[in-house]
Amino acid sequence: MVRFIESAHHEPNKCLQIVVLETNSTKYEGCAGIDSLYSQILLHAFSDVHEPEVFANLRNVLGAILLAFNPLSRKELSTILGVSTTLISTTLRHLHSVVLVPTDESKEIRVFHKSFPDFLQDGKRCTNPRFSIDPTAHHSDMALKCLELVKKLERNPCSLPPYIMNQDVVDLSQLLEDKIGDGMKYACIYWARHLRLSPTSGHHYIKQAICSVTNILQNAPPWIEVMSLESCLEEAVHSTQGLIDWLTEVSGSVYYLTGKELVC
Amino acid sequence: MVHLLEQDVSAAEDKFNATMDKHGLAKRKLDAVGNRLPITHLQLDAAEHNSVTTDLELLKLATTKLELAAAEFECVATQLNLASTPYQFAIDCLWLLIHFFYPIQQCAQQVYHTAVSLSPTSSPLHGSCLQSVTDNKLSHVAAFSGAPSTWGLLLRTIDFKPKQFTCITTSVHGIISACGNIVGVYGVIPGVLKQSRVPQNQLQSYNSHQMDLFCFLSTLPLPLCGIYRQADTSIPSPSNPRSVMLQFLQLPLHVALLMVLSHSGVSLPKRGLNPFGVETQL
Repeated sequence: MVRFIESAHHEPNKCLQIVVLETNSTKYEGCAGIDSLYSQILLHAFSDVHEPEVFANLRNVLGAILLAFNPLSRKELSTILGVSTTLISTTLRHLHSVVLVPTDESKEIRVFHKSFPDFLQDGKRCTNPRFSIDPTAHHSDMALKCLELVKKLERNPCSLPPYIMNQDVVDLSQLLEDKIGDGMKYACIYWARHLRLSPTSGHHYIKQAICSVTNILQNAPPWIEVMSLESCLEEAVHSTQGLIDWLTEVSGSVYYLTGKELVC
Repeated sequence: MVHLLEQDVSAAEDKFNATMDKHGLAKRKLDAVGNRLPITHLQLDAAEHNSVTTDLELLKLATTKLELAAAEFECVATQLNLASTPYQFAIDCLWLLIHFFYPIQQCAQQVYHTAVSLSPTSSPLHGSCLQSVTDNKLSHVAAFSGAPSTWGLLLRTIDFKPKQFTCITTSVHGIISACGNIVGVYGVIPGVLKQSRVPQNQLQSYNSHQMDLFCFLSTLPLPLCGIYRQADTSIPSPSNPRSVMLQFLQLPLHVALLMVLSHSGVSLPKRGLNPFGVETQL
């Protein structure tokens, strides 16, 4: 609330008025007060914006921040979402009272309080479609974007000599940061988790996801190689298991609609 | 006579006029009805026609959409039903990861050097990647005589320590064993020991990001072990009907173990169940 009032982008008196005039915020504890405060913050932050693309960007960026399995930096977000770091900064400029955006673009963006993501992800609480975030839809978006990144992986991205043990690579972490990057690392580790939380019905999405998954699986070694270099090989096993579960559910959905049994 | 004739003519004229009036009235009425009825009917017909047309168009649109969706789904179904489906690739990838876990974990490029080359001949990954591996000389294995046609059954050999192996159970987070008087938790995939404790008189707890494990020496005639569901907010007890005890493990006598999958605010129960479901005081 203090951050909202001392906003550098808005007049403090006006912000204070918004908080004070909001009857719920002073009368009730719990969701009612917080919800109206968050609604006011969002409405105030985007009061002079009318372009739908701005709100689409906002949902895109906020959805990724809130649903990421690890806090992401602007740099990583930019890689995953395929947008510039400047656009991310611009989108989040007015939300500094609820989201911490470090000036260093390689440091993680964090939400100040868990109640903010809870509010945005609950359609009953955040009723404004410009701001509300549908977790399933955003998980599917993230899954597709991560899959697109993983598809780009090539063999031996760090140009390592053959048969070299991971532990013998000099300054492996720096090499990975330079050659693979944290955005790609996130995509490699978490694409399956996002996919698992994606819908298993909706033919357009399923078709797109299956195409990407097939492309990756047909050439799985580069992904396995990166997972080993990143010391996440166990996660690769879990990811594959999660993918198998998702495909099983998808095959059930296809059978329901086409009446054709799948050989799974 | 003339007078009589004049009277008849006058009466006839009156009758004629009256008839003409009636006829005029009837004609007007008919015109009015005629004007009104056909238009109303036409309007009604047109409205009904429009409505039916709209419904028909909507129905046609919905049918087209459904046909498109069905076609798309059939396409997905065909994709999934192909000889090497994503599902089969995923299963194959899992086998490859588990079988070659150690070499790949230690040397990332072993995925090309050995894993792809030494995979069974029926493996879709072997089929799709071997050519590229051979062409780029990524493996010294040029040919694998007597290569297995399918993946084997043995996935992992776990070297339990100490060797006096007594009992074992599995959970989603590991394989729990009791060997001699030591309780150990082994990772399912790498098969390596994650945690081990020798139960003492004092309650011992292990904490990891995934679970809490409690272990203690029991004076009970029967050993105790429970693996509990993650969603439970407290350790199951007879007084907590919501909780379900999923699995018991018969550990060596005097070794008691309680494993609780992670959640905050866990407190040990005053009571528990022994492996035979009999309520006991801890």
